[in-house]
Amino acid sequence: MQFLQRLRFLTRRAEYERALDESIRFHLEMRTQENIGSGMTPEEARWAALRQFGNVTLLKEGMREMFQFLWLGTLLQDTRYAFRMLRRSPAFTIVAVLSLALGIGVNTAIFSIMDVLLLKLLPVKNPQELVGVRETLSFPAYKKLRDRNQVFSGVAAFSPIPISVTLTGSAEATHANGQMVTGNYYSVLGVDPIFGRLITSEDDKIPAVGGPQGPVAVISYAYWNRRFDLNPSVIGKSITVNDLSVTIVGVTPARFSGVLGGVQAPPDVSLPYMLQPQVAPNGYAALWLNGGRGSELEYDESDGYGFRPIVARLKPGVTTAQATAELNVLYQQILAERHGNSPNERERLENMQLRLELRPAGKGVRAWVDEKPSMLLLVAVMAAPGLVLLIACANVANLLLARATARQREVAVRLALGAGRYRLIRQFLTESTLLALLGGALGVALASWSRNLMLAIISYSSRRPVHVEAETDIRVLAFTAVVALTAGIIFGLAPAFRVTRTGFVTALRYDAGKQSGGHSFWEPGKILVVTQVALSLPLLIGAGLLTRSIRNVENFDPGFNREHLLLFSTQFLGVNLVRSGQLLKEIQERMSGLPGARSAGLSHVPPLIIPRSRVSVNGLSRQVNAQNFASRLLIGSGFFDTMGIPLLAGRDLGIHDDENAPKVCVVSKNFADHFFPNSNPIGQHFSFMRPGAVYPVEVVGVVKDVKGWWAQPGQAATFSQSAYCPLMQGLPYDEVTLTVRVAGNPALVAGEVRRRFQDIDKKPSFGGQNLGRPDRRLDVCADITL
Amino acid sequence: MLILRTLRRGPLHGYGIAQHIQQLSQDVLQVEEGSLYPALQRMELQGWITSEWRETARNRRARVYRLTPAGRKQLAREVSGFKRVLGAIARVMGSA
Repeated sequence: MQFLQRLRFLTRRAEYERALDESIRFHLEMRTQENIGSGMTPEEARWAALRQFGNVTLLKEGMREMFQFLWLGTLLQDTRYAFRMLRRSPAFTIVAVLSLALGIGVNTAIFSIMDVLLLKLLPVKNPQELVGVRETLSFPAYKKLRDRNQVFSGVAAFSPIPISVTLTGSAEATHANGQMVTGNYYSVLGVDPIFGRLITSEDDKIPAVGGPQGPVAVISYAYWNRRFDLNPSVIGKSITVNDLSVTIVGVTPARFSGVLGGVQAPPDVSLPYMLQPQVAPNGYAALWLNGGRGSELEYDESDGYGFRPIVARLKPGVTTAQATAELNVLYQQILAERHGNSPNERERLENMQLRLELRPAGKGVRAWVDEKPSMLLLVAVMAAPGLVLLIACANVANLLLARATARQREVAVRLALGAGRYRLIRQFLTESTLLALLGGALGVALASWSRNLMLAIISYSSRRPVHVEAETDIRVLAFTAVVALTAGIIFGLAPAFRVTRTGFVTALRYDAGKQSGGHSFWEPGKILVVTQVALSLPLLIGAGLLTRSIRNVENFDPGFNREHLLLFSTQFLGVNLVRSGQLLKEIQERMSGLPGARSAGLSHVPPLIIPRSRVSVNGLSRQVNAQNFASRLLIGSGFFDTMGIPLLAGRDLGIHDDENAPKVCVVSKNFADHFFPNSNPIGQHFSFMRPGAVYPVEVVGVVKDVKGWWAQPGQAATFSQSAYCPLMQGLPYDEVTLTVRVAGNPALVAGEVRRRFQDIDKKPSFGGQNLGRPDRRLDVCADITL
Repeated sequence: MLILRTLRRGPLHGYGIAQHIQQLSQDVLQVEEGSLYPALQRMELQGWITSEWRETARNRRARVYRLTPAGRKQLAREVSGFKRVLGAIARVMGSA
């Protein structure tokens, strides 16, 4: 009550004071009137009234104090005063606020991205208990691990799959991000539905059917919002996912966007694994579920490189180290069981070297960096914008200092009139903090804009669209507020101390305004300039280096002609593996003779980033090390022509190299040098050690080396040992990339390619991030998947 | 207490309160009239009285104070306390 009254007083102070004034005036007038009535002269009457009343000013002071929390009052007063000062010099204010907004905005934007990537925990129950298995385990191995371990309270698995969704009563199918999950996925994560129910183990029992309710699906809040306008009647509705009709049973919370974290697209629709045969007849999920072509684990990244489907929750009190130890004992047992009674000595030795590694997954299964490096990364990434902010602070401090010097006389007068020094410092600090907060407010607005710009640039220059669910939430705002306030204090303190330090007698002298006693080396102005230069230097150097590396990337010679290449990647959705060969033939036919294109070639994945396979020569499996791997790219006829990769010896692959012809391949020069030193590679034989199978091939040609990345990101491009096999001899698979060498207008060619793709299949069985993006030219070699 | 007692008779403005106290006490209680206003404000903060603008008989605006129920209670408390003290003093004086 009293508190509220006081607050009211603070906000309506002028009104109160006026009321008081009026009351006093009224009182005095009445008294004067009365005195006149009792025979005094008007003059006497007035004085008598005043005498009787007492000290008016003192009275007012006293009454005011009754109301105030002093600090709040002075704070408000200071703020008002600061506002006035800032308004009086708009040029200064605009410059200061803008430079601060820039500094704070960039920091906020980058922090909000880094927060999502590195700091934020998944919105699940006790996320710090979650671990991911770094290696790819097959489905049977996963089941054994899940049922026999003593260290986890639950082990779940999931696979992202691209899907097409048709709503009931609609002919139009749209692409969506799907996810296959084990029945225990949600219970292991501890996610509750916001609506309906989530997938349970009951739903994941019978292959191709699911559970008692038949095929079910759970949709994300974002998808519910996007496709169903948050309509509650969505529960029980049927949708068609890749030709399979499923019933929606529930919606996940808005905050939950899967466990991948980082830059992956959040799943829209989740389905039980048992529906895999209909929903995901091919792809990683299929390979995984069907035992990875019969293997428990192979050091082969071609089957879903970077695909780590297993997420587990540690039992309370169990450390990651303990869990890893027990897990590996169990893993060796599983590996031993696989080979049954014929433990090949070599395989046994190789198995001994295989180990599983657990990673904390509280921030997402693909938070590809460990705890410590991630903090380092954060510091490293925040360093540059931090420097920018410091420079902005120094800038503003300099401006403030210049202004403070101009205000020296004003300050001196105020000191002379008895203002306390700390009171004045506080006043100055209020001013600079106000500046910082204004800058911060503008910075937040700037942040969301610049963050979108940054993400757009990253999406553009990397292969896939980057999904960062970054938003200006309370954490980010808190970060900005702290940054702004710290900045305000940093750049406000020095000028404040400096100005109030001057003895007022000297400052009041007539010539005081002209000089500011600038003889000392430790002049704040000088220090600031030095600091600014010092801070700018590393930034300049960094920017220079960055520009150079971008130039390097642009001038990077991948070993083929990069000019006028267009790239289209697409995925076959819901297409049965059996059909993929037929589909490929159709594509190959359709895409020949494109107007405006010099040539076109197919490959199963985009060139440059090629999965590796283990290679064995003459039946000898050499040691498992990076030396004995080769990039295995499946190509159609015309690929070398299109890419501009010259043939050095032997012959090119052609249409006749189909599934019925002898298995052949063309290798790169360095492949030949490594595996067949001192001999003619043409006619030699070697085998790809695919998981659980061996694919022998004969070398028919040698081409020039091409640079590429191993499947692992972050590694420098090197000339990779490559083997090119005919598309038709590597079936089945579910994606294809079309590379086109353009002669005419790229946009026209791209349009034509898209039309022809649609002609092949009216249904969107083609999905793919790059399809229809003619701006994706191969010559942007920063195309590294994140 | 005096102010509260005065206001019990009805709403009154500051000058009126000063007049009233002065007259009733037959000029014995000559307070500095200015101190009336802080006292009024304090009481308003305590919630014992409320105030509003009113037109006076001579067509002038004046701030008029009015006793609240809380003010009445407070007055009762103060009066009883005062009576106790007064009674005690009277007894002491009487016995002397």
